[in-house]
Amino acid sequence: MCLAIPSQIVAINGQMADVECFGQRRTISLMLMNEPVAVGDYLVIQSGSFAIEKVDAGAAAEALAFFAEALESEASQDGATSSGVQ
Amino acid sequence: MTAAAPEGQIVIGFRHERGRFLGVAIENRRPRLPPDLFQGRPAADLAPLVSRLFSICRVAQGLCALEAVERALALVVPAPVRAARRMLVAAETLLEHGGRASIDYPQLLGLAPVVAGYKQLRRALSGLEMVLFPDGDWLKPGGGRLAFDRDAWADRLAEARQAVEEAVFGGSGTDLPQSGGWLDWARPDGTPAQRLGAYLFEAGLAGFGASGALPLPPKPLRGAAEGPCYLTGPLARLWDLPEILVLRTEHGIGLLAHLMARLFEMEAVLREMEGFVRVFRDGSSLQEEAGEGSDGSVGIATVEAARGRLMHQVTLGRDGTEGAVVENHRIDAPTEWNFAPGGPLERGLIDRPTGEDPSGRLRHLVVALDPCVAYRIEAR
Repeated sequence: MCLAIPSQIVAINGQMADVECFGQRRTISLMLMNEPVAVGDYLVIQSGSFAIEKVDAGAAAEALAFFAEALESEASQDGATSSGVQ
Repeated sequence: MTAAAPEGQIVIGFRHERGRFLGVAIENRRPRLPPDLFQGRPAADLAPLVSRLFSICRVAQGLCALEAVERALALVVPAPVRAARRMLVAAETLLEHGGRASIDYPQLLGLAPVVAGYKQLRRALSGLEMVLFPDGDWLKPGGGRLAFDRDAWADRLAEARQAVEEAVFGGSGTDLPQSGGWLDWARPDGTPAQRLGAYLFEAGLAGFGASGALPLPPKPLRGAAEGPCYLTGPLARLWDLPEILVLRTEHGIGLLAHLMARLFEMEAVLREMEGFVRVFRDGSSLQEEAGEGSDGSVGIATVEAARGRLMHQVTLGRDGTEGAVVENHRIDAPTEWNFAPGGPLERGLIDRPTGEDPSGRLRHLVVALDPCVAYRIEAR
């Protein structure tokens, strides 16, 4: 539900950007952004494909720390599949 | 374009045979937040943290968590603050619906997103918290300092209305179709919403996905697979609107009803926000969300977020140095109802015709129910 893990821009190519988060790299669209971005900025990505807003570095660091704890907790369990949605 | 998102996704697997959907299974491949994630945190920190983590719907999530904390602490919140909070949720709802109409509807039709209109809407509606709470303390328990900038509010609303009418409605909100006017409004050369409406009629899909679901009641029962199937979101909220009643009668709660409910709600929200100046001047509160009250340490709050009913439940304890701290916290999201086993998605598909593109047809219903998370559709 509504989870959005801040991803950091590592490269920009026109209206597309490569972003990285917890070692996962992906290409997303900047076409919906209302403000300029630069390499190193943190973004909120919606629906896995579109950046919708910037997150300041402090807030991003706090959120990433929380998510790091969550991913570490999940990794210590077996699988994570179930019906229904959390 | 994209590799797997760190937020994960839900995988919607479906089976079909002889041109009919046989079943659907929803698999959760998202990170599970530990249940004690917020344990020990000061109560006043919960809402800002929630807003930061669940940032797609950060306003509704933050305010719902805040109200749960306030109920647990039995804090009295002034009526104007409650009204202002409702306006912030309304703004987020309008923005999210605008996103569906500007991004998802075009994609369903194989078109590019309506970038300019959506960006204008985002400019108009982003950061409204500062217009109402200029100190930035909109998530302060008990209420932050409310200082309503009427001119800024009016300017933002004017821009939002222009964006919505041009990019979504295809005209004035008062021109949205009444009963019998659907075909005239749903033009194949109009906005993505109008084009989607035209497509639904052309393809005979106006009633596709009708599940027999009922609007989520105030205190729903869970766990009964044979029981009622509950729906939450704009269609559930506008269930008794005359225009929606006509649609339900003619087409059931299928794709067309979902589409029009979203648009009618956008117009209703715009009017409510435009009228806020008068409400604020009167000091009256707007409709409040029902909550469960407090037994002294537990607070439950619900907010009608863009995608449906959101619930937060918090249990507070006492820490010698921190004061009130979080002992337990739980969130029930709208997605849990609409994408539950035996819920509106599953029941809306069983034995329905797949057409030539089963995945594409299923995607229409997923967008209508709006899961708020990334998803992938797989044929099994």
